Amino acid sequence: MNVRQSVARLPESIAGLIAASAAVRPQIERGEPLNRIIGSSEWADRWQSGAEPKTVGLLATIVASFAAVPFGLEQLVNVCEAGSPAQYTGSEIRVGLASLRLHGIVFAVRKAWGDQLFYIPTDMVPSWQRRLLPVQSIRLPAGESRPLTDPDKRFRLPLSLEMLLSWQCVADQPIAFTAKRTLHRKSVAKLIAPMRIASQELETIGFAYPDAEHLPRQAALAIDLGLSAGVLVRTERDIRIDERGLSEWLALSVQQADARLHEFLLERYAAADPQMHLAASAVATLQVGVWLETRLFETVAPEAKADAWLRLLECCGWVERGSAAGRPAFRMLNEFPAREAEKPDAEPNEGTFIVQPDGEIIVPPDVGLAARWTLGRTTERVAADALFVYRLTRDACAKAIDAGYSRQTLIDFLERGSGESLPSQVADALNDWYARLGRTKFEDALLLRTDSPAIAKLLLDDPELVAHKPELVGDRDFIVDAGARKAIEARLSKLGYPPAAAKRHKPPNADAGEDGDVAAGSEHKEPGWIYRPFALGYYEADPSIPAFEDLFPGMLDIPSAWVKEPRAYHASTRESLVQRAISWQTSLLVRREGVTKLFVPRALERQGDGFRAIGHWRGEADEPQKLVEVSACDLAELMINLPSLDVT
Amino acid sequence: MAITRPLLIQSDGTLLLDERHPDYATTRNYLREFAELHKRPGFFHTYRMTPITLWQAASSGWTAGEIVERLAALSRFGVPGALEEEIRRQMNRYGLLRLVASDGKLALVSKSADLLASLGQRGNLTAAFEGEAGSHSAAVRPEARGWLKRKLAELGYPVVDMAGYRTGRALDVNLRERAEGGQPIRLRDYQAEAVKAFLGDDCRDGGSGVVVLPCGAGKTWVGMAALAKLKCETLILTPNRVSVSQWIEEIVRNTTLTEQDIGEYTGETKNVRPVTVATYQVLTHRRSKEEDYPHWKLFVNREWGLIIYDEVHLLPAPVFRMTADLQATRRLGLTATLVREDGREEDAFALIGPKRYEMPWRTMEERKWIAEAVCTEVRVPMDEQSLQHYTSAPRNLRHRIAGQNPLKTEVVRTLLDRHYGTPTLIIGQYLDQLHELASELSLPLVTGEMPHHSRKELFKQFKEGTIRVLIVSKVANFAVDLPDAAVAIQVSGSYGSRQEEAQRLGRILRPKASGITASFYSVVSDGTDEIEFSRNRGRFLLEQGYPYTIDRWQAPNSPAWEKVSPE
Repeated sequence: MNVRQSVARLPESIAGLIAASAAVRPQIERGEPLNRIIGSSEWADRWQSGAEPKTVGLLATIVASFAAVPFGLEQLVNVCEAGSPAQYTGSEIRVGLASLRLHGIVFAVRKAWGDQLFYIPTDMVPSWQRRLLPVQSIRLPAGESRPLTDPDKRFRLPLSLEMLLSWQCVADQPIAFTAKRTLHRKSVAKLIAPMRIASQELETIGFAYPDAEHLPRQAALAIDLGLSAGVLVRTERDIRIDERGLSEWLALSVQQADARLHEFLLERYAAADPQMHLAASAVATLQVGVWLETRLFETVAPEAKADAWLRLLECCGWVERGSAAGRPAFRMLNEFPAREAEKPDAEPNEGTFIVQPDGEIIVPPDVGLAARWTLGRTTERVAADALFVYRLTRDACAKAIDAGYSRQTLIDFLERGSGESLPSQVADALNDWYARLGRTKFEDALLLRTDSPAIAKLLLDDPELVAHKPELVGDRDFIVDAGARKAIEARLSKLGYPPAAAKRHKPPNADAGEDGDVAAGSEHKEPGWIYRPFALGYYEADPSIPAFEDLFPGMLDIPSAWVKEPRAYHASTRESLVQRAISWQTSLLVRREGVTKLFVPRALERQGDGFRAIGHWRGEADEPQKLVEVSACDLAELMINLPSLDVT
Repeated sequence: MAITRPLLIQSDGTLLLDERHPDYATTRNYLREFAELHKRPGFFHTYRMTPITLWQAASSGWTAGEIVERLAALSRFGVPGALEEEIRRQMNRYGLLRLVASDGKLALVSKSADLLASLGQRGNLTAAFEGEAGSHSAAVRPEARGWLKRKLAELGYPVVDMAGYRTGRALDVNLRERAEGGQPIRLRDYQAEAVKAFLGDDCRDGGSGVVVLPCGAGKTWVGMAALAKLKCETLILTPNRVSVSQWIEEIVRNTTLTEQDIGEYTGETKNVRPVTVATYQVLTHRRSKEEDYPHWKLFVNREWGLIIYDEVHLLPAPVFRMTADLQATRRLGLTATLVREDGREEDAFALIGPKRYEMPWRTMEERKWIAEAVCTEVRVPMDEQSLQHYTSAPRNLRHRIAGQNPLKTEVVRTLLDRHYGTPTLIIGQYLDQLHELASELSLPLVTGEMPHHSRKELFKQFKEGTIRVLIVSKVANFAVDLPDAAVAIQVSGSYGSRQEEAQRLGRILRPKASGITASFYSVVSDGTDEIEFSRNRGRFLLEQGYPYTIDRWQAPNSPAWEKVSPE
């Protein structure tokens, strides 16, 4: 789940708390939406610079361990305790988590049976990875600037164009469901025909989806991304183009579409695995065009996972892989989605295509998606490469007519898209082809059938009926205006020839509302085709953030001095303090001979009248954690040390 | 908007050069070094880099790094990585394998022992080798020289053939110093360049290959000059007997050889002399499919030092097979186009040799070596009866019915009036149509069924100017030299043959003494499939840089026709 979706689900009370924080309030007052503010790099920078180091450290642990995968408090505690030395007490974790929620960094949902799950929004993981777990570039050694690459590797299209070609096949023929709710094989074969991505290349990503035995992975990818982007829509009968979603998608530039798809890849596939998510996030921070060694990811992910992700990016036409001196290497291509392109207000940079006199249309990389889509509907594709090449042909004109393009609208489109008048040879050819196309067509018509020529004649003699201009076909049938059906029915009844009941005429798509209904269409409700392991959308947003007192049950029942400063207490009181600290999973501040140290008690054992506490002293960061036994005498002066809730 | 860089590059090696860019000319000159011009229909000219063009570039001294660097500097959107790899791979292969002759033995040598070993283990190649291959050298059977080169080229490994050629029996021959009219004989610069490129300078792999020049550019001169340079007995193969006669006439007229030195080897006459001119037809003639080709002995029964393949794009497949056995003899292919309707361009490379020289039509035209030409498609309606006949006819007859549209006669008459006095060829596909035209317009007709001497006589009269208009069947598509023809009217053609259109245009491209522009008309029946076939044929001209316009014939007695396409 991303920031926008997470904020949208926040209870007002929590949203209000986040909005009230000093780091956010000024922008809220300027009218900026909360999701935009807390999803921005500027805010992340501001938060990081003002936050308690402990909280920042806890966030780093969460990012490193879970990325966007939901986690429970216990899992987080286990992770923190597994560290050596353990840097956080349970109370510090609880308080830190509450603080992160108050800042809109960590969000929480609650399962039906009450369990709480925390998560970082998927689209914030790259941002926190860059800040908290940065990777360092490892360039190839000098003299190895050109690694070996697979000699048989194919040219890859940027994913946005690969998908466009594939989705265009859905426009030509929706992917029908079979009676068993699997996808029709022939439609799937058409869907993947123009794709260069092969099923085996996606193996390492580990997609799981319906009908996986028969549906190739690249088909699942195209469908999943299409559904996620809103370009495709699932109906009862088939998966088809959603015209509105398509039109929004086509308004993007190629770069913007790639950026959007990159987000989908991160959110839908990488986010399922924290290490892959971090590697995927780290890729975007590296320099484009430079060969780097894959081992640079080893601080955030094992090489296999980083390589699996790079392999996917290579399929997407954004990365090139090779090897240098036996070590895997990669470089990001210029086509890698730039972060700038993510800005919603970035203007698409529309280039023009070239119409050659021989009817070929050359489409440079800077031509936008809308023009490409129209070319795909009105011409024949000759090449889909660094440049796309289309050709105007007679058959393509027939296709164009079906797509609603008359000769003139096609010419207008070509002239607008090329910025030039059409070459005369092309205009001549279009004239020739269109002269014979679209001159005949099948139409559904409303037939008024009489059972004899005599009745037909009688009807023809009725001026009121004739006013509706019935067209006589043969000697007893009429084609009548469907719009005038009611009036004709009424007139026939008046004339004493009420029409017999018949199945009402339906235009071809009129039943779409019955069995072709679009399944719940909005983006967040469309689950896509590929399963996501953590469907947070099914859970309710956690309605509250615990107050400080709630994090330490019974705090109002203890003397306030226990948490204010170290003091000498009676042994039994000291025992109570230790027990309270153990139950709150917090530390004790111990002063002995003028020196104060933090002791984290884990257990308490009675010894006759006294007790001994088992725990560890918290010292330097690199000091190995060692459990020690501390007698009651050693805890001469003490207080319960409670972490402060960072609400700045 | 300023055009940033002139080149658009595809990963498959297709290069699109923007003619409008200020650096067009220099870029074009670079591209010629490592790519071949495929078409130039508009502002963007399409070049293609293929393994062959890259090997040729490597043979000229280019390195992969230089080409990649040059492309990167010229490309508007960068060089696709896959192409960069392919350029390096192909160019690194050139020179890996060399054929050398030592002590009269032929050997395939390579610096790469692994490569040689892997080739030696390929079952289908072993027949070419003699004995066990060494680590860097393998003995090759002399008779397998061509076959091995062809197979290795198919596998993606070009062989640099440094084994040399036999010199053939010596022949004392020179170009004459002066022509019959007394003017000095001097090769045009491109003809001299073509001969030089064919022979190669110091490189021993020269001496075989193809020269591509437009019709009318004087390919015969290139052949004669090669003959005079090599001074050896020569076999010349051409597509038809008319062409045989014209070669013989030209050689007698322009070299020091006499008729006694030159033999004609055709269906009718079979003389084998120091220079022998034969047709492909006679070489591939045999009584039945089971028999051998009886005239193949012509290749070997004399010690030829050079074989010239005129109109090499028409070379029949059996001649290719024979040519594989002739790798020790120099081979010169002459053609106006490398396009083969059967798509066997690769065979021409492997067996005749690489393209050694090419001069595009447009460049020739710009330099006034060939005439400028205006191409026009004239659309003629069909009368009601013909149209009904056409519509109801089976599909396989429609093309003929449209081609023979009787109203075309009126168009031809009008065109002849328009170009009155200008030497004009009327070219058609269907003999009955041509006979009818000849009868209605009272014009002489040349067809394949006419005795050879009668054909020669009519061509002679046309050249001399006593006949100004000649109707010709497809016999005149190729290798007929009618230098003064300035107007061609095509009344019917085959379905979509690209080379036919080019050849027919070529008939009128010889530069005219008067400097007039040549006119090429293709008369087609409106509203029929002929339009589409004509468009396909015309596309080839367009790709060569000859845009055509469309005129529409309205009706007899109306003021000519309405021009429908903009000027």
